[in-house]
Amino acid sequence: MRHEALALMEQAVRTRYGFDAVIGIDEAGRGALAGPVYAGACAVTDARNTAFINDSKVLSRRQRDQAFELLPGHALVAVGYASAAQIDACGILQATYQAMEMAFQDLLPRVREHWGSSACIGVVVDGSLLPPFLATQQVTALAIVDADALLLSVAAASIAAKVTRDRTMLDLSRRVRGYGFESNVGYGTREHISAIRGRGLSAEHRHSFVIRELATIEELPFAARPQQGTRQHR
Amino acid sequence: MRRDHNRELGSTGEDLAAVWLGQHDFRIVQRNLRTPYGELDIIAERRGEIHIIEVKTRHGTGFGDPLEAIDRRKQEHLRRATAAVLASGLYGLPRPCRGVHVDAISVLADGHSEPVIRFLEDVLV
Repeated sequence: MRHEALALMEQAVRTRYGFDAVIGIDEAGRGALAGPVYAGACAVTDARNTAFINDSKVLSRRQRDQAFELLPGHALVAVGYASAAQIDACGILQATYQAMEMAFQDLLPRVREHWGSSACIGVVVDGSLLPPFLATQQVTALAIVDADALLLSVAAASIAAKVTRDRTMLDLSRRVRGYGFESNVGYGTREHISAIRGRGLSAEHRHSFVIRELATIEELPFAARPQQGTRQHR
Repeated sequence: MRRDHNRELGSTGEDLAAVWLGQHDFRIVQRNLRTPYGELDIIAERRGEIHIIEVKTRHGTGFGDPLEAIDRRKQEHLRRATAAVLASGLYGLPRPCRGVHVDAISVLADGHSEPVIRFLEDVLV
């Protein structure tokens, strides 16, 4: 049923704006302390039997992997990324836009090929801000908050971004050891932060992020155990 | 006081809207459906398609056009609540469903003359 909702909402967007094709764009790893930020772009070509597509946040890691394998049979898929160095150089927002643009530019010609060059193409980006690069394209662009939980193509894009990024972090964990990238994929888990404290930063860390983050966390009772007699709130 | 007044006005507006919809081939499936993302005023069906209808009622145009009251936050609420209804299903909804629309009805009533009802299909998705 949930999947049906995604498909229906996407169809509604299509009829409302008269789009022949909808490109969904979503990002993964924006809040991580290390590794690149990834963006996925997807256009669903065949919505039948796509129950495996769902918001990447409600799928398990295995389900996401399986969905990613099945995706090319039902959708055109592209991913883009921006490295930790790029993030440090121009900020996470711009870097995210660069990743999105990379994915979009990869996908657009294939979408035109599939639907024809005169097709009306709509782009839906998850979030509240529209990437500036979309303004110069011959497409209609919408920013919809939580679109990855509303529209099929954006959910598919979120899967592509998340799975590709997780795989990159797994590869990275073989080169950059000791931070547990294979399990925390760069996010600021307790183990990751204590590893940073012990080992310092690697080249794959987002230096502009981590320093600030650690400074604030140091003051929080982050690793403190609950004291006896105090109740733990969940 | 004010609150009760607004609520009363709202429900009269919804009654008027429901009557109007009934006269225009819509079948009301449910009114005032609560979802985790807020309440949906009217859920209706026409020709196998679902219509989620937001009703806006005003006395006069002093506060601007009623449909201007559907701001960004309201749009997000409508979108999420619509998706939630589609995801959980609702008794009386057509299945399989051929399409979904998020519409708005504005009811302008000044208490003296006939209320003015405007129906806008597909205000957003």
